[in-house]
Amino acid sequence: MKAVTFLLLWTLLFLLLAWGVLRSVKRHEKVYLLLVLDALYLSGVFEGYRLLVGAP
Amino acid sequence: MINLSLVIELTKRDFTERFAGSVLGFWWSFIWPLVNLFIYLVVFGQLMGARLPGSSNIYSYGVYLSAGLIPWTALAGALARSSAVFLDKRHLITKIRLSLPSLLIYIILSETITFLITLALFLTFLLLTHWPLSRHLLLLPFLYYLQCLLVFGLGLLFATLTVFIRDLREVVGIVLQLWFWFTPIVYVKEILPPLAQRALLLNPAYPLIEAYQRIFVFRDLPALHSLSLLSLAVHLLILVSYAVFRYLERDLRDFL
Repeated sequence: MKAVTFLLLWTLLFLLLAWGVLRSVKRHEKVYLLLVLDALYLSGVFEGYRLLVGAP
Repeated sequence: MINLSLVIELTKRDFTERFAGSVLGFWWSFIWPLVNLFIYLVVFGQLMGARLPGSSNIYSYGVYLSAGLIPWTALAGALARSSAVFLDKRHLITKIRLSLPSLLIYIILSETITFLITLALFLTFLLLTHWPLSRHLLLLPFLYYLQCLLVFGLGLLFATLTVFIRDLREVVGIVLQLWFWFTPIVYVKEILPPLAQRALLLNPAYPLIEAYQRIFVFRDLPALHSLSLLSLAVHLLILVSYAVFRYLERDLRDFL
């Protein structure tokens, strides 16, 4: 349950951030910023899940 | 940016045209995965008696094989098609102004539909045979998303370069064949010599396929730290691919 909540909230947070980037940043910088955000998002998913389930 | 309506239209057309004119039509998208799963699970497991080392379950090898082959088929299929997409869609690119990376997204979406159908059938089989399922199934969407990003990064790079070096299309096919046999999908990694096992760390498909196998077969947690590292590497790859694409985009449109 904790893992589901974490994954949902983490996804929601990054969707909001991505939406902010899409609305406010210029065309090409948008791509690079979204890439950085996405890298943080996915690494956060895996690392966060690892911590939550108590894996080494 | 991405032409969303075009991507959806191309995905729909790609999926419907595949079985256009056939009597069974859309049902073929269920028949093909069913036949494949029958071969992996019933022919290998029950008829040929293949087992995973240390397991006596008649379906263990079939589940191991399916857990690796289902994502691999999606990865290889999408990558093979992506790497020539600019050449294949040149009639469209030269007529209308469109964002070229969108073309890769429609291929990934189209392959995703097939992947989801196969996965649903596979899960149904597991439930019917009372195969215990892992709670880590929760990670599947993220694994598949990472897989799509890998396809996008490699696909964009190859699609760009294939316009200038046409032989790359064939090279990608050969590389995919070699890559398949270098990834533990039909065999377990323990049968490899130690040097080859260490070399697996350089194989970007390995952490992904291993994660699917751990979840489905061993009901174990995937190597999440490797997946985090792979995720960073894949984003770096997309960055490089996009930079190469941007640098060559004008010449690319002229070359088509």
